[in-house]
This record gives sequence, C-alpha cells and structure tokens, in this order.
Amino acid sequence: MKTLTVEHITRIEGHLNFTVIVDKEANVKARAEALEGVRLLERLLIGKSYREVPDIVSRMCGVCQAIHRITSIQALEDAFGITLPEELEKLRKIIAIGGHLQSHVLHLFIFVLPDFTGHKNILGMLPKHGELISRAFRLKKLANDITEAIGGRAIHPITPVVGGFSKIPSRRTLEIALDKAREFRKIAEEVIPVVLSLEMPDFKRKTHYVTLYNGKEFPLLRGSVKISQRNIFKPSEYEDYIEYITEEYSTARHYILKKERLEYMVGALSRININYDFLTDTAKSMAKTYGLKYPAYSPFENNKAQALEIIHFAEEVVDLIEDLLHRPAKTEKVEFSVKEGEGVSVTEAPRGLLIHHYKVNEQGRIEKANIITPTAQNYKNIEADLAAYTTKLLLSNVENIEFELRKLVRAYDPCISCSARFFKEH
Amino acid sequence: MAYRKPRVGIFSLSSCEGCLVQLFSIEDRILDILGSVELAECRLLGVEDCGTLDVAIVEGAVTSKEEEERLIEIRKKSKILIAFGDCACHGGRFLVKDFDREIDANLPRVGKFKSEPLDKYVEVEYHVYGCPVSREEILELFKDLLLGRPHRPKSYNVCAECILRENDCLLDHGVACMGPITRGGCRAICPTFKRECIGCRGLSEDANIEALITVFKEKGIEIPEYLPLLKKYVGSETL
Repeated sequence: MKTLTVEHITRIEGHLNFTVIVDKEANVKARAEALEGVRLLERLLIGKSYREVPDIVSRMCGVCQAIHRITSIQALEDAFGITLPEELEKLRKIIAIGGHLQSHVLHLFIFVLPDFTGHKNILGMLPKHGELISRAFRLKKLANDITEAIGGRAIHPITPVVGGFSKIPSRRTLEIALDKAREFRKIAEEVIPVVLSLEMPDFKRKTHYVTLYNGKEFPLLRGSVKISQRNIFKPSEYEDYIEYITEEYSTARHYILKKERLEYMVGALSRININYDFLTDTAKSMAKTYGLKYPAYSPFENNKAQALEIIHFAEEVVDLIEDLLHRPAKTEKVEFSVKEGEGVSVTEAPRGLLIHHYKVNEQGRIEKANIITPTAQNYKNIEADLAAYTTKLLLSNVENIEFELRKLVRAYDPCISCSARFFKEH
Repeated sequence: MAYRKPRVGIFSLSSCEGCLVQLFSIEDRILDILGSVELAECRLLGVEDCGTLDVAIVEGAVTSKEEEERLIEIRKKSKILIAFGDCACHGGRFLVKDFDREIDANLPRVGKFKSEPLDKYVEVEYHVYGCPVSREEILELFKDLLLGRPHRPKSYNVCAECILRENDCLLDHGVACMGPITRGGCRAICPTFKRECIGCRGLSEDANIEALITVFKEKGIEIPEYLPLLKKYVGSETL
C-alpha cells in the first residue's frame, strides 16, 4: 500500500491537506482533509437578534463574504415574508456580481495561472508576465470598487440589511460605478482569452452537477435548484435532496445527494453546464472561439467556466447599473414586522450553491441556523476526482503526480474557511 | 552597510482570511508593497520558504494545539510579530460583545473549542485592528516597517473620525452605536453608511463603558445585554 499526503496546499483559500491511498490491487482512495480551525459561527448565532446575523455570517469567509451576507438576508426576509422592489434586488445583484468577479480574478490569475506558466507563484511570473499581473490586479480593483459603491466596503459590505439597505448609492456614485464596470468589461475581454486558451489536462469524470435554475436567466440570487439529469427542487426542500455526513479526518462537513448516495459538484462548471443558454452572446461566442462545449465533464474546465462567467457578469453588471440610472430605487428599505418564522435562501456563491436556513422566534431571535457552503458540498466530488485522476496518472506513468493533483484541487477553487464548521448543532 | 529588504512572512491561522484578502485588495499598491520587501513565505500566494524572518504578519485566531505550535514556531524565527486583524488581536470575537461567549463543545480532531488571540501564547510587537483591517492602516503598517519605526494603532475612538466626516450621530437617532468605546482607524466607515458601529476594532484606549450606558439610558436606547457584562469583563482583563 502506498500513501501520498500533500500538506497545506498553497494558492487556495484556507488550510487543506489531501491524502491518496493506493492499495495492493491498485485501488485508489482519496481524502480531502480540512485543517481550518472550527469557528462555530452558526452556534454563535443562536439567541442573537436577526439584525446581527448578516454581520456575523459574512465573517464565514473573506473571499465570498458578500454573498454570505446577501444570502442570510434573503433567508431572513423569507422568514418574515418580505418582498423587495425590483430596484433593490438589482442593487443586491450588483454586490453579488462584484463579489464573483473579484473572486474569479483572484483565483484564475493569482492562484491558477502560475501552474500553467511553469512558475511557483505570481512573484515568479512578474519578470515575464508583469503586465498581465498588473492588469489582473486592475480587474480585481475595479470589481471591488463596484461592490464598494453599493455595499460601502468590498470586504464585508456594510449597507445590505434585512428589508433593504441602510443607505443606497447616489446617482453620482452609480455613474462612477458604471465607468468602472465598463472599464472592467473592456479589460476582461482582452485578458480572459489568456485563460480560455490554456491547455487543460486530459481528464474527464462525469458527475452530478447542481446549481440554481429559473429558466429565465443565468441565476445568482433567485431560483430553484437543479440536479443535472434529475430533479428540480425548491429551496425550502433542500433537506430532502442533500444530506451531510461527517468524516473524522476533516473539520469540514461533507455532503452527498440524499437519495442517490452520490457525490456532486457545484460551482462555475455546474452553472454553465446547466445554464449555458442564458449566457450573454459575447460569452457564448468566446466559448465557440476557444472550442468550449457544454456540458463538459472535466473538473479542470471549472477554470474556463469561471473565465466565461467573468465575461458574462461583466456585461450583466453594466446593464444592471444602466437600468438603475434609468429607474433609480425609490426607497432604501421596506416596512416589515418581526414575527416567528422559518426561511431558506439558496444562491450561487463564486464557488457554487450556497444555502442559508434560519428559524426565528417572535422576538426575532435565532433559534436554528444551518449554512451549507459550496466547498463543503464539493469535498466528496474532489475525493472521487482525486482517486480517478491518480489512477489515470499511474497508468500513464506521469512523474509529477503531486503537482497534477494539486492542480486538480485548485481547479475547484476550494474555500476551506467557509466549510470548516464540523458541528452537529441540533 | 548595504540596504537589505526586510524578509516578510505572511501567515494565516483560523479566520475567514478576509484580512489577507484585504491586503491583496490594495490592488494599485500591492505590487509596490511586494517589491519593497522580500516576501519569504505566504501560503495564499504560493511562496514557500523556511528561513528566519524580519517580520511575521499573522492573521487568524488560535483554535487548536497545532495552531498554537505553529504560532510558537513562527515567533521563534521572527524579529517582529504582528497580530493582523481582529481574530489575531482578539481571538475572533469580532464583535466585542461575543467576548464572554463560552461555547462548551468537544470537537473531533480539535478537542475542546477555543478561539484565542495570539498574545495569549506569544509576545506580539504590533497589533493591526479591525474586521477587516482597513486598507489605509495596512499602508501605514508597511510604511512604518520600511522606515523601521514602531506601528501605533489609533488611540482615539470611532467618534473622533465620525465627527470629521460630518456624519449625523446615530445615537441621536436611537441607534445603539458602539462608536464611542471602539478604537478608531476605520474612518468610521459603518456610521458613514448609516450602520451602527459593531465594535470590530476592540475597545479604544480611554473607553468609558459606564458613560456609554448612561448615554444610552438618557437617549432611551435599549441597553444591549452584553454592555454591562463587557464592563465587568474589562475590569479583570483587557480586550
């Protein structure tokens, strides 16, 4: 029996090891081991006022905090029966898109690209690819500026609250944001081809792809959940379809499809596999130019799916800001009364499906909280891919197996902080 | 003697890593910053080295024995150790009100739950406060490090900065704002966006909790249950 353990994978968010075990019969097993300390954020919520929830849950993750904040607010609004006017929904979507754009740029250009240019990190890339790296940082800045214009701050936005916003942007602020969004779109269309033309390793393994779906648009904040070639279910029914399991080797939760007892994948690839038709024309034509076909079954294609999403969201955010300049929000907040209730919201975080579920008592205090993050859902799929890819690499006598496996894990853009909340609270 | 760029290591214990993300969110200056130091270790960027360091920037709280040991190792090889962000400074009780939250839980792999600030285990030269740390203060930190002078957090409270921005005082609107007792340096960003200060930077140096309770009473603001507890707690140990 042979065991390969790779410790503290670099260029991902958080601390993760993985172990691959090959037995005498050449059967391969893999384990993704989250090492992040457990921060018990859900436990901290119990007994707290609903007003405190968004501030606390956004601290789940420093990369995708914006979407955590918005998802928790949507779940609480569901519990109180609040519906927002379209303009406020659009403002929230801009924050979410800003979050996706900065996260994807960070992942693709700062974390992934060195694997393909033969460097250990971006510092090594600077002499030869300095211009590309500074343009990537410019993109990241513009994305953050867009979030900041609406949210007040890019990392842990301030303004979104239950019932709307504490403050909405002025016309002038929106105009500045529009300029930034247009600049982002222009630079993105110039540099994204760098990612789309990378040669990805030859490895495929079909799995179940799970994402939001609403049949109208490329969904981010609203919709039902679709499991590829299977059911569509409503957010409130999630417990009937996915189930969590714990593994003693990890501080994170792992999830499987409940009925099938099988692993599944969430993230950009799942989104595009299921919602390709709703991408913008520019994104679709780029996909054609670079020979990308969906559904695609290689986890490495998640990188290119993120790249296409950058093109798609860059266009969408320009449209959203233009819409809001034509039809500005009339009010910051809607009136509502606090009441006993239960609410669920399912959204798409940069790394995939995100579920927030709260039960609130009549004083507006939290009685139950459940948060299911994308990376936690991906662990079982990562393990299955690690095992299958190792088998393939062993058969083709590839020398640097460890390098290849790191690259595979990185393609998922895992976010360990989010997932490390191993705890049975009920 | 020839000038040598300081060798800097950037480390992360348990946290959301938002403070590291914030560091890389000074996008227009980050390449200058990285060029002015020798980045010797940073897992997030994929820089792996093991030598001694002039400066260790450590983000995150200590939540396990493993992390405690890692922190002690980092301390041993570093001349200056910086607690970077609220998790490192206060143990991830990012809202001052969670300071007393004892969670009785036994966790697989980890054992009894804990989340502690760095200076519980090692000596810390400088603290950079905030959840997340502010971009302005990150730039100040690097300037101080490069000039070889000590880094001093703001001693004044959030109100001092809030007044300069000519914001309407939220206390006058009946909002339980923690600004009067919270350390400044954030440019009062939350009150500027009409949100109460949640105390993410810890207590200011002259924080008068008693006076804040009196103000809340006078203005008819419901006194949050954690405030009297906080007052008691501060009596025995600094936050």
